[in-house]
Amino acid sequence: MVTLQSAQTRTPHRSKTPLFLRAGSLFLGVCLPLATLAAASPVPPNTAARDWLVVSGISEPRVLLPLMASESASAELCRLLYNGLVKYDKDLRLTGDLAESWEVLEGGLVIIFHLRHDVRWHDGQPFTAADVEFTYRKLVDPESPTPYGGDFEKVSSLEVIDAHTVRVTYKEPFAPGLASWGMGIIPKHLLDGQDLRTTPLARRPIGTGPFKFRSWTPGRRIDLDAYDGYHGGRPGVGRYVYRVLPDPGTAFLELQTERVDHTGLTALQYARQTDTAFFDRTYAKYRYPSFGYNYIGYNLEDPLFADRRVRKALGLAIDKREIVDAVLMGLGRVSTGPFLPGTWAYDERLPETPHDPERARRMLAEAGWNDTDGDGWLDKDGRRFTFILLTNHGNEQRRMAAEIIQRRLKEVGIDMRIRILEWGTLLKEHIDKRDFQAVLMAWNLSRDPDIHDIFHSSKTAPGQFNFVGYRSPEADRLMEEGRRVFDETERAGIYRKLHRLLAEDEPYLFLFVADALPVVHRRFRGVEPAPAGIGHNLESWTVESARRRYVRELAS
Amino acid sequence: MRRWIVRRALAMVPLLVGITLVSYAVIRLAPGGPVDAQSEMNPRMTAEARQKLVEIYGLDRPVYEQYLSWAWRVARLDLGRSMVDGRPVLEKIAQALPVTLGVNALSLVIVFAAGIPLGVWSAVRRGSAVERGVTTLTLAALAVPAYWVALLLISGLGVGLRLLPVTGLQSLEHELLSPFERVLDTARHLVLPVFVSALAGTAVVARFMRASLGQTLTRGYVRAARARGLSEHAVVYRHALRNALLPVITLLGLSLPGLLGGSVLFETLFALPGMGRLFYDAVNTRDYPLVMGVLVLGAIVTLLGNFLADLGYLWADPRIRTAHREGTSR
Repeated sequence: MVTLQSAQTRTPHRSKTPLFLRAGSLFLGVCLPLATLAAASPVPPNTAARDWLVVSGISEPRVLLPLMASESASAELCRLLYNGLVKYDKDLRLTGDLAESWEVLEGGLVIIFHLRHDVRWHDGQPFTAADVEFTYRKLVDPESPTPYGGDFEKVSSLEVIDAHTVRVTYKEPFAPGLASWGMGIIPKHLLDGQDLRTTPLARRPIGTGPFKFRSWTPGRRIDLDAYDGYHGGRPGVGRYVYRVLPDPGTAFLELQTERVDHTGLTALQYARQTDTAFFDRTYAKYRYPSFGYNYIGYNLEDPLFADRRVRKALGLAIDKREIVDAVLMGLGRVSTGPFLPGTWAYDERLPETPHDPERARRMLAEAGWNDTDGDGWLDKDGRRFTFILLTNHGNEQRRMAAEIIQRRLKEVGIDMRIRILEWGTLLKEHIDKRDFQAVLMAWNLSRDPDIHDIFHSSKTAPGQFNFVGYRSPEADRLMEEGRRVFDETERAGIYRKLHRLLAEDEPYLFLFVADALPVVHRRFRGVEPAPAGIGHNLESWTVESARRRYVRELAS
Repeated sequence: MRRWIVRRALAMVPLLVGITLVSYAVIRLAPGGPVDAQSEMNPRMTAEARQKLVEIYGLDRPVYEQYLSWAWRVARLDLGRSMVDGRPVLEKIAQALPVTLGVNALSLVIVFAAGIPLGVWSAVRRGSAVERGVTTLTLAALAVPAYWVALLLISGLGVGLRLLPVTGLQSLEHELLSPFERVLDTARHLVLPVFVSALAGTAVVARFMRASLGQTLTRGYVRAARARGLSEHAVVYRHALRNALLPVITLLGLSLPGLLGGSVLFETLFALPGMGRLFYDAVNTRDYPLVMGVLVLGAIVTLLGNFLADLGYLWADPRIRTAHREGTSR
């Protein structure tokens, strides 16, 4: 599933992944044997000095409870403070987290989770199946202000079999359901009987994750300490400091003075402002596709765009590469469908739509659009081909892309007007009410390719997310099947078919996937780029003693 | 006169109610609401889940009912809780206010401490190179955007020379410092924001002072004083300056309510969590209780300020006093 990217372009890369399902570390796979070794070796585990990792983001987290973490900053910190039963590893495959294993039974109707025995909450209490049950109850409780209840609607029951075994029964097989158990588990012994909206735990969280809460200075920073009892092993970072730096320009200046160790760059900063000797010496830059794509969504109920030939002609008339080069300074890639490039659901063999204005004009002529009066604009039945593209205020990338598209469409005789609206107005007055012709927006992608909510014909009611009104029985069938099947290879086949179908129908004009452009201070060792990005093993980054920056505390 | 004061005080109540009514109406007329802002069109949030949130926050009730229940709570001095993070509105304001107040108060001190001497200096040296220099500088300070100056200073003093910290009010290791180092640390952090926020104000006061004193120096009594053979120093500083200062003091009074207001741009640039950003974020997330809380406090402070100013005039100016006595006896 996916979430819509919010208004800001200048979001650091980590902010583009609002779900707490950001892939975690690979501790389980690799570190278990290591842990055994460590236990046998004479080296005491807590003597190595550790450094701080200072991270910056443009917004302050709202609440540190995973059930209510609906925006990126909260989700990012919740990932470090809490664990789900499962998580995505660095290769974006589901692996155990609080659950050491699971069984999918009865064709996907039942999932049994076997929980780890060695997990303790940050306050020392043991983690048990009762916490899982409590979290589930809170998720489906009508009184809970959680946006994530929908994932658990298909669960018919959850039973605690013993202190470390949980049995979940579904009403129907639901493949994305397994990933939804990546939801951070919250402590029953501290939250039972409390109102989630007012609990002090939302500001002083207690979890099971690699970091435990230390302090929160509102509007400025949040400090987390390494949790040495973490079931994935002792973190290599001694303290994680999240700084709120709302202006990317300021954040960049803080990088220049080495007061930030890890943040996301804008395309301009990456391409033009970081090619200095100081920057090269001090920071390592990384680049990989971010989890989200930009697109133009057509209102398919508008007579203009009901004709597939017109939609395809628009796709041929614009030059997507030009947009990537100009808007992202080349730091991104053209997108052909609704999945993340490089993942198993994405069909890499699908060709990009070429820039071919000639063919676009021919297709438009077939659809009845010709320049009969010679004024340079296409017309049909005496009406000019003109439409309004809506996008949101505050996002330079989208404004620039819209202007480039406007010029390319003019070349084939289409008069596109751009209207830039405040985010709330765009959603409430235009998207929800279906009062638009075309919109330029973006979706964030989560790790599961289920796109049922975006393209299924049953999701076209006001306020639902198939606001373009896409209706295809074939696509419906594929999306339903993709949810029922658990086997990844089989699912890949289904989603690749769906990818081709959507590229053929073009209910969206898929534009581009921007690259995430994070930097990390060079003193950190163990940064490992992977399909999941670089944050997946953040807790195990280390710094050599001699290169530590924040030594004062460690001396005290 | 006491009756006038009581009446004047009571008149503030309907005014305050009116302000809250209009503010409430305006923020509710803006499309979208706190639930939409929270869900950010997140497909994981089903329509039912959104409806549930709407009901939890009581947003499904008629707006006038919501207003009444809000007003009733405020009447009992309860500003409610933020719809975004569930924290008490008062607590959020109490955390942002000292930041804004501190920077603004310091900058106000500098504005008048630097602006008045500059103005006096250039008024006394009328036509000299000094006056031209001050005029050019003050004009420049007024003309350049503060954020640009801020960025230049940050990049020059902060990044280039690493003389001063770039953002915030404390270093990362603040808590580990000794008490003396902490004070020093905060002071170093305050230099750039206070300087930048004082820049335009200083220019305004300097120009104001120059105009006021310049005008006063042409008055008859100044000429008379000179004619009596008083020293130029005595003429300017004992006779003219006092009179010329009056409008500047009015200016000081007018800038007092501004102490509570923060600039969004400025606070964003220096990463200061003050009132400007608090309010801006509240509007963007349609956090009604927080928006209203900030507005109500602002309204109360402004109304009280005006009231106190009126009382001050009453005390200071016999003409106003007399007018009111006649007014009430009629």
